[in-house]
Amino acid sequence: MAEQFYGEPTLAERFRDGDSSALSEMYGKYSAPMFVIALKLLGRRDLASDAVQRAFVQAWQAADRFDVSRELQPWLYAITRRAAIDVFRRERRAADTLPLEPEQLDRVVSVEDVTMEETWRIWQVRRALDELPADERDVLRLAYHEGMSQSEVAQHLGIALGTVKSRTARAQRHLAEKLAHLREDVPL
Amino acid sequence: MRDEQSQDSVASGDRELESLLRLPEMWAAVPTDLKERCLAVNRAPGSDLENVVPFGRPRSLRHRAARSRRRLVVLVAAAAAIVVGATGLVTTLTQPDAQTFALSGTELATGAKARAELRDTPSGVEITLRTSGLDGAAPGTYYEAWVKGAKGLVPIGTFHLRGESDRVVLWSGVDMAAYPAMTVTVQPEGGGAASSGRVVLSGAVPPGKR
Repeated sequence: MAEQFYGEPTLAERFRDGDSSALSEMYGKYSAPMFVIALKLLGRRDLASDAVQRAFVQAWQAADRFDVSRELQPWLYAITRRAAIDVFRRERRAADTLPLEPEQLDRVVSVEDVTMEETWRIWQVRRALDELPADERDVLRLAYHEGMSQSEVAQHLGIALGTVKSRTARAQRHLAEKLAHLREDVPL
Repeated sequence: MRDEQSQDSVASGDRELESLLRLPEMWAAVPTDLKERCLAVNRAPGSDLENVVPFGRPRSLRHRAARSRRRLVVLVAAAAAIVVGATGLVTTLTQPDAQTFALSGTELATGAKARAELRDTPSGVEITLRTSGLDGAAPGTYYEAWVKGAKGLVPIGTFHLRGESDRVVLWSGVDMAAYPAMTVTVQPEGGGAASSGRVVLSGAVPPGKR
């Protein structure tokens, strides 16, 4: 994490002031959770990309009105969710005139069923995962995403089973620390 | 075969967290082109974007002018980049050598839409645009179509739609694979050759069909 010096403008302040490097930094920090919740809501990577891009445009458009005393993440989260819903509605309108395949339509009709609380949790977990050291994130990904056992993870990575176990435990502990606030923290 | 005992040891005991970690979306990789689309400002040439009217954004105070110009360039460049992933991108092969895709109206023409049909010919790419909901260009203005890719913006024709037909034939001398995004702008007569940036329709050839 970049060190913040006294008197140096924060990311939120630079963003508010129209510093394009702040936009780049925001992309680096938040594009993944933005994309993940858009994908959760829309079910298609192309639509999720649209939503994230819309969110960035809308955020930048509103940047000079951003209250820097507020947290940037819940604000960006709300914009992203709104942008995804806009994309969803656009697709639903387009479905009246465009030859969408049934399975494409099925993927974009459930956006309003995903609660704000759920998407916020997803955002937070993805942010926390992105902040983990790569080796810790990898063992969690292989276990939870790829469905591997500890032994399979060890074989896959070419490391000892004991190392996988200790790394996994460390990753889970770090993740739990980063997400300790999760149960009470629902924005908006 | 799953090593159940080892698998159990992966569990953190937090079932809610574990269910989130098992969501396929949780681990999704961000598309590699998304950064360029979102941060188009950093590479925007800007020269033909300075006169663009932003999407309903009020004019800034004088002391904010420089900052607003920078932001405007960001917005316009990003809006142009939206074209790349723009709306309703459904391609159907209507003929063996033709493909179609949808263009959607922007904030400047919310009720408008169009379908573009591309056909490779020995002379270039013939693009037939069928619009709906797009009014004829106001007196003193005209529409101009553009294709856009990594190498820049290329004009492919002008039209006004003041007559009975909503069909327009355009020609591109560049390969659509390299210029997959398409926009239509409204241009002021006498305003020069550069894009006004006032995009009324936008769309793109879907990646899988380029």
